[in-house]
Amino acid sequence: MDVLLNEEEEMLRKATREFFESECPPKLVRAMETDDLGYPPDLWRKTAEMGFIGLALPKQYGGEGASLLTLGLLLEAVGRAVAPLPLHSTLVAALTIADAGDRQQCQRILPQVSSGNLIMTWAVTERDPRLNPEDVATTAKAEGDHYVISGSKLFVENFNASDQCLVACRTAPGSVVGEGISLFIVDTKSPGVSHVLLPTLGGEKQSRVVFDRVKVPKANLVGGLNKGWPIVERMLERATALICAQIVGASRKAMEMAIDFSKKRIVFGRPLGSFQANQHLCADMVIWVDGTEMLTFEALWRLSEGLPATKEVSTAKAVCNERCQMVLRNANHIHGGIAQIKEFDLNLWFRRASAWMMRFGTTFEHRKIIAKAVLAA
Amino acid sequence: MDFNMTPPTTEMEQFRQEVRTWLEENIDERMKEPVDEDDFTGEMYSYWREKHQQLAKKGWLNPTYPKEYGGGGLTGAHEAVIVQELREARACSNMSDRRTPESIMVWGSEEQKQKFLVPILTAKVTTWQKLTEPHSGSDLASYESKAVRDGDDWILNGSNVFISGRGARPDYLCGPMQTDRDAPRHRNLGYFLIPADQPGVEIRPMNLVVGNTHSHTIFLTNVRVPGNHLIGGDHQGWQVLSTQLEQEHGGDGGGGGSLAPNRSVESLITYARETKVNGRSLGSYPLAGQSTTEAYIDGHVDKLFSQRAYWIHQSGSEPAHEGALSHLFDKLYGIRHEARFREVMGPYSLLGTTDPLAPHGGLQEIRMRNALAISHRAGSLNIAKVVLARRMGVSRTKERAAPMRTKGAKSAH
Ligand SMILES: Cc1cc2nc3c(=O)[nH]c(=O)nc-3n(C[C@H](O)[C@H](O)[C@H](O)COP(=O)(O)OP(=O)(O)OC[C@H]3O[C@@H](n4cnc5c(N)ncnc54)[C@H](O)[C@@H]3O)c2cc1C
Repeated sequence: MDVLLNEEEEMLRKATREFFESECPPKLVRAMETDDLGYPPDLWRKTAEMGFIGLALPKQYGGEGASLLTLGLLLEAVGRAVAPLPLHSTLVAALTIADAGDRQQCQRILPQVSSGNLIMTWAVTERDPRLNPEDVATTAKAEGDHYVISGSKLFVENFNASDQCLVACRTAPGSVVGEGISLFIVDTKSPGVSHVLLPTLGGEKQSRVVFDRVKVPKANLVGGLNKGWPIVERMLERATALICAQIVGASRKAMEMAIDFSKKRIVFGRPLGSFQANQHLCADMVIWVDGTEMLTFEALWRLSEGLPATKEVSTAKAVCNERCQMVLRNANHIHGGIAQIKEFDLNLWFRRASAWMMRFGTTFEHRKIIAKAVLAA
Repeated sequence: MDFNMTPPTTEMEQFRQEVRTWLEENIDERMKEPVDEDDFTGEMYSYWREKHQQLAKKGWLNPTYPKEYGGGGLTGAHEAVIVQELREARACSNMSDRRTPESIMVWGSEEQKQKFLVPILTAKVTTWQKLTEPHSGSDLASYESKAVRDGDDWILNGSNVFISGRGARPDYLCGPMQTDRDAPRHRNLGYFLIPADQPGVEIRPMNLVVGNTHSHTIFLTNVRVPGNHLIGGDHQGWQVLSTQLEQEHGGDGGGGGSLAPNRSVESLITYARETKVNGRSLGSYPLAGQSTTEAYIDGHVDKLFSQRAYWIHQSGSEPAHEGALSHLFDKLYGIRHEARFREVMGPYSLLGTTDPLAPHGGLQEIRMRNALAISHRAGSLNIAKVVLARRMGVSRTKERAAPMRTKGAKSAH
């Protein structure tokens, strides 16, 4: 019944917001767009020291053991500051190892992640961005005590900064959807791995990655052979809910900037905010921000409780994609011409959040999932 | 009633062939409009300045303006053909803003038409529209940049932002200045053509997020302008401006720009048709198909609205709300349209021009950024709504259109 944050959660929200607001000013975000690495190692280290990176990783591997909902609060704060950190990609991969990796893999990787010494990412998408198992064509073939991976992956986030990457590969021809896929931990420095950065609107780091006969030890297989797709599905579900938190955080901040601007800008001799047309735009924004936030929290809560959450996650993402984009658009609209100037900060929020919305499925895929769930007999 | 854009006659077909052949024979492939404005070079600028003069000689640069002022003396149907063929040939659009000639045509004296309009319409000189000031764009009547009389001349001081234009500087910066600090709003302005190549005029590029714009900040410091550069009376600037804004707010149906096929809708349809998902075309999936269809419908309605406004302007009737409606619809539709691209193309829609996988050469990423400007350029979305409402009589008085050239050329002066 109580859908509000509890005291502890409120404190975490406050602490994370304050941390990123003071440590990650827009100037830093902008600087990282042209930086080769794309993230400030100093801030990454501080984030680890605060215990944020390991927040939701298991206690026995150096984490804090917090829930995904709690982690959502952290990512909301990251989104709010549009902090250029490889946090989401690292956590998506690390949580998947915590979920499906063996003890040895967990021991090798998770403490390193928590301490900020290991950056990770994941690679599923190839040509079609819709994240379907049929689209996975990159192969992994057993050769002695290794697998040899060949193929290429697209839109891989933070690959340039990552040490390890989870790669979905085809290990058997899949007759039934989802069969025949396996998940591997690949060292990004392995011979045969190469990548090119993609030029994107968001200014974040995404790569096209090529695996040319890359040797991976058998011990790097996550979960069973040919049994990788259900693990990927769980990974994507968590990742989707967590990216929603980031999108909501960025959207709320953009809304706040626009409301603040409305009070300050004088048009026709009075504050812009006194015009009803502007008030309507603001009212729409808050409906969308609060709405997507509640949907996101609900999805994260269900995941945290171990309840089925497919429909809720997709609802959150479908609505985020549509409505948060409108929030950013209204915020841009309210600002008038000035927000079109590159040096004006708002566009950082617009571009970053737009890019996040294009990850983990467009509205179409998610509506399809919702329809399937809602219309099932 | 006739929904044909051009009459299906042999004469029209011959004209189309003539334009097409000329463009094929006279336009250098290397000089064509680049996808990304950043690839527009100084060499291209010089090339097109020259080409525009050639096009003007044939009457194709400003087809519907009278011949005696450097136009083509042609019909709207001819303009439709020209616009379509120029777009097909990826010709660069005019370096001058489209709106200043309308104001000179309506409000300029005969001497001013000879002095300014003829060189502008024949592309010998260029103009940029200088309206927005840092403190205000929407409330243009609050203009603060000042003009003070000095003998027969005027001395100008002030500043502007977001002034679009290609090249380092135009020949003229065109817009209002406050001529009387004591007169009430709407009666305190004069409209000037300011020679830009002189001391005191400082033009600096602005760096915008949106694609395909060259935007500038302008500072005028004790700039001297001869008295005959004032168009209309020294308290008539708002009226001159109204003619310009009438056009900016859709009163000329987008100047024929919308008479060409909608490239953007076409590219979405092509993408949905040609992209294969599990062996089927993306567009055959219900949701992607629906978005693409909605884009088509919106685009078609948009075209009809501009066609109507264009025709009213061409036929010399007084527009009521049609231009304002077309202008607003264009903005609203543009915003919806951009979202559809993202839904259909997903992350590909964000790939820039330098990536080989970017659909349509990265056009979409530029469009995404461009779409940010829809709410602002040529007047804000909110203002567009107000303008339309007032034309519908939702105000104390029902507002009427400002005089435009086809009608106003006779009546205003
Ligand atoms: C890409 C681009 C190109 C441009 N090109 C040119 C150009 O070539 N020449 C030129 O002169 N200008 C140009 N402009 C400027 C443009 O015309 C202005 O940005 C626009 O008129 C809005 O003015 P402003 O930016 O000062 O915003 P403001 O007028 O300060 O408006 C800020 C916000 O207040 C809202 N608002 C204002 N008044 C009201 C009201 N009465 N009721 C409700 N809401 C209101 C607006 O909708 C907006 O959301 C360009 C702008 C852009 C972005």
